[in-house]
Amino acid sequence: MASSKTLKLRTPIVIASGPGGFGEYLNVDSIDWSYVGAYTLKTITLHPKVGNKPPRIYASSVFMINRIGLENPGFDGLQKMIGSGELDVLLSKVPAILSLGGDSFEEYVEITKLMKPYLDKFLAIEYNFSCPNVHHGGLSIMSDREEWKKLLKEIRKETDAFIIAKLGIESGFVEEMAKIVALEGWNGVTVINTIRGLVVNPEGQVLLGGLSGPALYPIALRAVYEVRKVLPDIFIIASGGIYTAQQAKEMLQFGANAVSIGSALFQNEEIINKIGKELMEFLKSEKNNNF
Amino acid sequence: MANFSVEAKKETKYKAFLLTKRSVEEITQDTYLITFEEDFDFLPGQFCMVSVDGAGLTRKPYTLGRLNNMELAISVKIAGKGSEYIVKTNEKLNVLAPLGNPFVPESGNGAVIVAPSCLAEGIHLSEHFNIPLIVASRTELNDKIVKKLKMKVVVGNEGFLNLLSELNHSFYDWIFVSGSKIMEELAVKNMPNKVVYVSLNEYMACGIGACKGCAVETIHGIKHVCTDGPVFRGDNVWQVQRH
Repeated sequence: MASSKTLKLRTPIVIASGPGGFGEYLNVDSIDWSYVGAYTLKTITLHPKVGNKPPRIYASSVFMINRIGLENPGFDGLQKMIGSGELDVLLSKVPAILSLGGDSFEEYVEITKLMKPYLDKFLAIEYNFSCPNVHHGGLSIMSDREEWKKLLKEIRKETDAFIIAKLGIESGFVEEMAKIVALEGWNGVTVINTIRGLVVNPEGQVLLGGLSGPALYPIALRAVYEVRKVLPDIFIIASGGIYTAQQAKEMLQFGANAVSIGSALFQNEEIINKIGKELMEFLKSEKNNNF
Repeated sequence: MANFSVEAKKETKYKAFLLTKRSVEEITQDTYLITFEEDFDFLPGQFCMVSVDGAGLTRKPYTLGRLNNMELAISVKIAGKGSEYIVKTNEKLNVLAPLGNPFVPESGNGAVIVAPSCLAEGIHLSEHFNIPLIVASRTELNDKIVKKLKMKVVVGNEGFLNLLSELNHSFYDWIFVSGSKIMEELAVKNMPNKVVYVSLNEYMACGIGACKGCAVETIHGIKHVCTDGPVFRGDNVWQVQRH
């Protein structure tokens, strides 16, 4: 079962991995960071990834599609960023969650080992098992269920950090996947990731990517509800289409421990302040508020 | 060889400004020049991201400009609900700026060519560097704006290609081009004798380097418009056959 380790966030708002990059939003002066409980870095893989060819994004009025392809500088790049102090502003202002990914079983394990000397800088590690935009790893790592279970076990053996599995909804019922995560002794799940979609943009270009945005919200809420129903103790970060304080409250009411803000940052990053202020007032009025 | 990104100074702090429209003038039937009451510091070539409130899921990127070296301005082509909101709303606009790297040309004589959708930037560069402004448009420009501004206007594809040929054999050392990707590629490939700078336009989400959405393919691999640009040397983006 999930280990008893707890994750104490100063607020239940988490910046999602991906949209927040490596802390670039700290350069925007209009965000009140006291509303943010944790900032999840963009997924780091063992080797650098240049990402997919453009075009990479398109937004309609109800969804976004992205096919970034996990562009990241790899472990060496992250090590340099830490060494050069590039992450210092972020780490001094907001607790950070590391996001790790890989192209294979071995890469997930290897990057877990390599990150050990740096884990004191991070609150937790979120493992990306659900990116739809890479051919190996991401979502595809879960296609062999037994292999994935072995991987969860292996990672758990390698680290005593607070570990969270980021799950999508395309590799089986999300609550069943979450049960496997809990059985392997992991501490939490982030549900959900983007969902595979296909969009033809106004220029006639086909974008095969991951859907995010408001259209995802009811799907993510249902996922939170289903996971909480079968796993009363696991830490749940709700992720998917949260654009309002009301939606954030609903996520908490249906069992989430924290809510993740991702593509809503692109509409106006001050959404953090709006959701944060209202959510804090709501939580103050709640008797069982743990924050 | 100049730096790839034509970078001079990198701003690392971005502010969100609430801007009140002073005027909205028609440039062409679907493109408008908007000036603002308020002001902030920025350098030639930089851009901003304008929030469209509930009319879209992402801020929209616009190159920044000035009129008479004073009034802050942007040009907006209505391409969807978001840009329509920006042109038509009477509310203040929430603008994140200044973004991207300033444009610093090599020495010598320059000229600037813009599409109507980049007119504000063109006016600013023309005034800032004291260089001629040429507007290349698919359709006729509104008479009032033509009379008001000091610029040359070419209309249609043939006029544009003739202009490029003329400039390629002119005394100018460099040409700055800001418009659609097709227009910029044509300019780079048809002025091989010149250093051509292009202000690239790619779908953006964050504008600050976080999301990696505004990737562009260049001859040096993938670059990002918001952090590596928006201004690039054209021969770093497209292969140019020098004669």
